[in-house]
Amino acid sequence: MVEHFETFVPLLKRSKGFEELKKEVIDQDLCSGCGNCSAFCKNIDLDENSKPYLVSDCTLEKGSIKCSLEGTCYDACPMVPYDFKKLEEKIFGSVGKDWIGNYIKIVAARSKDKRILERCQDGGVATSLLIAAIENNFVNAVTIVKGWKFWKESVKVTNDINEIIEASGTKYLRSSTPNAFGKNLRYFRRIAVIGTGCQIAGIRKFMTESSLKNLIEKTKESEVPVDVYLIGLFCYENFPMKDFEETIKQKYNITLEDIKKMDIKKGIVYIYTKDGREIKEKVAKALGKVAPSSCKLCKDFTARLSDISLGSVGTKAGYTTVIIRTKKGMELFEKAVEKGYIEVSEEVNVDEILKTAQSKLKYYEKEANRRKELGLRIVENW
Amino acid sequence: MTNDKEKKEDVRIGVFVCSCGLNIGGVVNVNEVAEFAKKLPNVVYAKVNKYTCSDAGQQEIKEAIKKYNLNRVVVASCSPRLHEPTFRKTVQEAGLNPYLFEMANIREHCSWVHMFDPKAATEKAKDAVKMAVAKARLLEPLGFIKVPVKNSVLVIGGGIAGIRAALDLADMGFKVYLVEKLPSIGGVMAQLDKTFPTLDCSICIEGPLMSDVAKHPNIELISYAEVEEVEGYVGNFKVKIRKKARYVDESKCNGCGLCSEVCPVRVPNEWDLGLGVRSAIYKPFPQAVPNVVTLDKEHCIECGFCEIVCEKNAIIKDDKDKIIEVEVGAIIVATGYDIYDPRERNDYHYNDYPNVITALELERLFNASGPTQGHVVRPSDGKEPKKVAFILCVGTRDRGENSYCSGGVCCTYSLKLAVMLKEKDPKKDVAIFYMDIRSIGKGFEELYSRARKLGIRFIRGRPAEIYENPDKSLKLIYENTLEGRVYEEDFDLVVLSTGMVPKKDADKIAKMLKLSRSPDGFFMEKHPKLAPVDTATDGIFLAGACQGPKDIPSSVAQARAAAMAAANLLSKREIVLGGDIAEHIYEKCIGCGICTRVCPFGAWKLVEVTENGKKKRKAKLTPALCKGCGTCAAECPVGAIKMNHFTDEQIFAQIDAALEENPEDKIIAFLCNWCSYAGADTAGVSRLQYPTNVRIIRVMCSGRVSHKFVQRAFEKGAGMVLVAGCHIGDCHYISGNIHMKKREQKIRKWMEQNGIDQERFRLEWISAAEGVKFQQVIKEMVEKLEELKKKGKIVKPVKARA
Repeated sequence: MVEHFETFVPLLKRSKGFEELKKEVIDQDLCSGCGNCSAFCKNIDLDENSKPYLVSDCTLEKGSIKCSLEGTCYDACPMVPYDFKKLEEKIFGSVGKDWIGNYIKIVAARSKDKRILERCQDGGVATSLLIAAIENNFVNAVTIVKGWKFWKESVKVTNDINEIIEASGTKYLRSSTPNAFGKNLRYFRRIAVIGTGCQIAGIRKFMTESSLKNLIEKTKESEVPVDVYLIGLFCYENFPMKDFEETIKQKYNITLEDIKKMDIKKGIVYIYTKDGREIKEKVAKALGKVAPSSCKLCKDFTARLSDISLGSVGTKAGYTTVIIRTKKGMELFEKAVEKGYIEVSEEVNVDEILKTAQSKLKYYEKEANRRKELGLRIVENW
Repeated sequence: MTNDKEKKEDVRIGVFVCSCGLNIGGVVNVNEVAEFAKKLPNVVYAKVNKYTCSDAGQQEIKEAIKKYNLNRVVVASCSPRLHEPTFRKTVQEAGLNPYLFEMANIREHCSWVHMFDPKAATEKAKDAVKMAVAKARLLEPLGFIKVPVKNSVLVIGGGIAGIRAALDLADMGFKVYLVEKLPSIGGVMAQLDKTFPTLDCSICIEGPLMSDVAKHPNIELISYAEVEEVEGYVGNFKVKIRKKARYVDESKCNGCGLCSEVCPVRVPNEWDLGLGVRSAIYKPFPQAVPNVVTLDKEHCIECGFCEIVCEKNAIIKDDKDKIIEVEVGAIIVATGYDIYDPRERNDYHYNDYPNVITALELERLFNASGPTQGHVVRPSDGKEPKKVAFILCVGTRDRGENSYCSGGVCCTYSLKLAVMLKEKDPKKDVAIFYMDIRSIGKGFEELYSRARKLGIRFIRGRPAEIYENPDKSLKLIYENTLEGRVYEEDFDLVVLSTGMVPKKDADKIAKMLKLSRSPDGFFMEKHPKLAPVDTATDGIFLAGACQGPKDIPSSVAQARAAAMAAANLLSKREIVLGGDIAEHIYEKCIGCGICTRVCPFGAWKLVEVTENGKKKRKAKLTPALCKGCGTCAAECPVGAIKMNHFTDEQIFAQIDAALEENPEDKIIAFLCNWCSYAGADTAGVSRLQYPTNVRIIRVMCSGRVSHKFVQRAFEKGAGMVLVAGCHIGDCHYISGNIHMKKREQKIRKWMEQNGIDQERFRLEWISAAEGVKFQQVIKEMVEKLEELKKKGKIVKPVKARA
C-alpha cells in the first residue's frame, strides 16, 4: 500500500517561496542582503541596499506547486530558520569545537605579487588565490567587487586577471556576490565565489541540500562539471550601500566615489579619501545606525562553511590569516604556494580570532534582547 | 431584345414526367401533366416514364435529346436534392450542357403531401412543370472553372484521427503538414491507460503510429503551433501557421530529459489533468512526439540549470513565435474534442469534494506513467478506495446545454474502467449509475457481459444528492428507478463519466475555415449520411471527434475516409468548379463595395482601376471562391451582379408562371436549398399533408431572395409570400439568412406603402429536419389567406393596380 506520492498533486504540499521569505526574513528586518535569493530567480531583484523584491510574480503565484525544496530563494537564504551546525556536520563529519569551526590548517600568508600588495587590504591572499584558481584551472571564473559602487556596477564574475587585481581590497558594502555567481554559472560552470559568512552559508546550503546539489551531480559526467569554490571572508558586519552612502555624506560630507580605502580594526573605522582626508572614529559612533540587525544576529565570524576562509584578525599587519577547511581548499592553497603566488608564515594568533568571534556573541545577545522586546524573530541558526 | 427572341425561337424543351411507380402516379395524373406540358411554349416533346431515374428512363432522355434535337430538358419527378446530379450527368452524356436541365419536384412537394386530393395535386404538378419550363426557357449553358491543385495537405490536430489521416496521405505520396497545438501529438488517446473493448494499452498501440509520423519523409510535423489564417480555395489554400516559441531547438534536443531533472520548478501537469507534476521545462509524457522538451516561460524562473546541463546547447533563451506559410490543396480538420468540465457547474460538488473525480482523471491514475505510477487512490488521503461509484451522463443528455449523447463513449469507457478496477481487485465494490447503457459496437456487448459477470452493480438512476462524510467518503442519495426505491449509500470514490464537448476554440477554427456547426456545437459535415467527412467548403474535410462524439475506431475510420476524400482531390492536376456562381457585369458596377461586405467567402474584392484617365473603384470577383449563394446579387443596388442559374429573369419567369391562374389562391414560397427546401422534402418523405396552395421556388440561399422577387409576386396577384431559410447560425453560406432578415424591413415598408397587408408576408427559419414546421407554416398561411380573402384584403399593390 502506497501511502505517499511525490508526484500526486492532491497530496503535495505547496513549497514555500518568496511570500514566506518576505514574511519570515525581509519583513522581520532579518535580510542580510547576501544576494543568494535572487541568484537563480528572474522574479527577484535587489535594491540599492541589496534588499530583495519581486519584479514579477513568483512562479508559485502562477500555479507552480514546487520551487526547489522550499523555494529557490528560500532554500538559499541563510536567515530562514535552519540548523547550520547540522550542515557543518554533514560536510565536515563533525561540528566545529569553537567559532573558528572545522579546519585542516591555519596559516598566515601573503601575496608575492607586487601589483596586488600595492592595493590589497592585508596580505593580498584573496586576490592571489583567485588568480591561482583561474590560472591553474581550478575554476573558469571568479567573483570580484570593483570599487565602492552600487552592487550592480561593482559585482562581477570574471576571468580577466587584470580586472581581478584591480578589484583588490575590502569593500565594506553589501555586494550581492551570490547574485552575480548565480546569473553567471551558466556561462562559466566552475566559479570561485568569495564572500562573507552569510553569503558562503547560503550557497553552501543551496549546493549541499537543494537544487544546486542536483545540478552538480547531474553534470558530474559531463565535459565541464559544475563546480563551486567557496572562499570565505572574516566578517563582523557589513553595510547596506544606500544607508551607508547617506550616512557618510551627512556625517563627513564624503561620497562613495571619494573613498580610496576603508578599514575596520578593533572597533575603529578608518576611511581614507582620494583627496587625502582621513577619518578615524569608533564604528559604533560612525556607523552604528547603519549596521543591520542581521549582522548583529550573525555568529559566523569566520565563514565556517567555506573551503578556505581569509581575514586580517590573527596575523600581523601585511599578512592574511588563512583557514583551510576542506580538501578542495587545501589543494587550491597548496597549488598557490607551490606555484609561487603566495608565501606562508606559521605565525597565527588563534586566540585573537576566537576573541573577535566571541565578541560577536555579546553583540548577538544585545540585539536578541532588543528584538525580543519588539516581538521580532531571532535567528538561531548556529 | 432581338437576341432574346432568337433564343426563344431556338429553344426546344423536352419534358419527362415521372410516375415513380405509384409514388407520383398514384396521386397525380401524370399523363394529364405530360399532355399539359406538351402545350407549353417551346416544349417539343413530353413523355411519362415509370422511373425516370432508372437506366431505362435515362436512356429515353438521351434518345429523345438526339431524336427531337432537344436543347433543354425538364424532369418532373422527385426532389432535385436527390436526382439533379443524376440527370445533369444524363443530359451531359447526350451532349447537352448540364446546366440546361431543370427539375420540377412533384413527389416530395406534391404527390406525397397531397395524397387525398389528386385533382388539386395534379393542378399543382402542372404549375410546377409550367414553372420549370418557364425557367428552362431562359437557362443558359454555363462554363466551368478549372483550377490547379496543390499536391499537399494540411492536417489540423495531431490526435489519433489527425495522425491516421496524415499517415495515410503521406503513404500515398502526398506532402502532409501536420499541425498540433500542444507540445506533443497523441491527443486524448495518449492520455488513456487502456482502450475499450479489448482493454489493450492505449499508448502501446498509438505510440508506434506517433513515431511513424515523426519518421515519415512526407510528413512535416509542426507541433506547438496553431493555424492562424487560411486563405484561398479548394486546391489552393494559403495557410499561415504560428509556431509558438518553444525556447528549445527541436533540431538539437534529443529528449534526454536531463533539463527536466535539474529544473527546480514543479507545475501541475496538464497532461495528467493537473494530478501529476512536470518541470518548467518538460515533455508532457515519456512517449511524446516530437521527442523534445518545451520550456514553459510562464513558470520558468530562469535559473539557467537547463542551459548548464544541456549537452546539445538546445535551449534558445530568446526564442520567438515564428510564422510558417504553406500552400496546400486540401485541409483535414481533426481538432478533436474537450472532455466536459464539471467545474463549470460544479456537478456533484466536483469542486468541493476531493474524492469526486472524472473518468479521465481515473484513467491517469491507472496509468503507470501517471501521477501515482498506476495506483488508484483517493485524492484526499492517498488510500485505495474500496467502494467506487460511476455516475454516467454527466454533462450530457442534459435538458440544458448538452442535450446530446456522446455516442455511448462514456458508457463504454465506464464499463472499461469498472472492469479494470474489479479485475485488479475482485473485492472492490463497483457500482455504475446509469440512465441507459448505450454501449453499441463490435465487442462492446462482450465487455458489458464481462462487467456483469465480474459482479459490477448496475443501478438505474441518476444520484440526486451527494454529501461528504467526515472521513471524506461520499454519501449518494439515489432512486433505483427499476425498484422505485430511494437509497442512501457511502462510496470511497465517485467517478463522473463526463461526456465529450466541442473544443473550446472550435469557434475560432469555424470562423477561420468558414465551417458551420451543428446545434451541439460540433463541426457540421456536408451531409449527415452521404458526405460525412466533407464540409460545406470544398477541399476541407473533417476527421474524428471534432465532427461529433466518437470512439477511437470510428475516429480512425473517419480519418481514413477523410484521407481518401482529400487524396481523391489531390490526385487531380486540376479540378473543375461549377458555373452556377455569380458573374460581374462590369459596366454597371459603381464600386460601392456592398458585395464585398455581404460575401462571407471573400469572393468579392474592391480594386482601383483607371478608366479614361480617371481612377475608379470596381468590384472584382474571384470565381473559385464563390459558392453561389446569390446574396451579393440580391444586395447589389444597381444590378451589376448576375447570379447564374438563378438569374432575376429566371426567377421572375417562375413567379409569373406560377401566378398565371388564380394567383390570389397561391402562396409563393422561396425556399433555400439546404434547410427549408430540404424541410419541405422532409414533410414529403414523412407524408405530412398540407393544402395545395403553395408554389415553391428553389433558391440556393434565402440571401438570394431579392425584395424584387417578393414585389413581383404581389404585383402578379399572389395571395401570400413565404421566404424560408436556415435557422440563424446554421446558414450554409454562413450569413445569407442574416442578410435576408435585414431585408425584411425593406420589404415590409414597401408593402405598407403599397397597401399590402403585412400578414401576407412571412419570413421563417425552417431546418431540413423540420418537416412538421413546414407543414404547420403552410397550414397557418392558408388559414390566414382564407381569412384575409374574406376581409377583401387580397389586393394587388397600389402601383400595380393602376
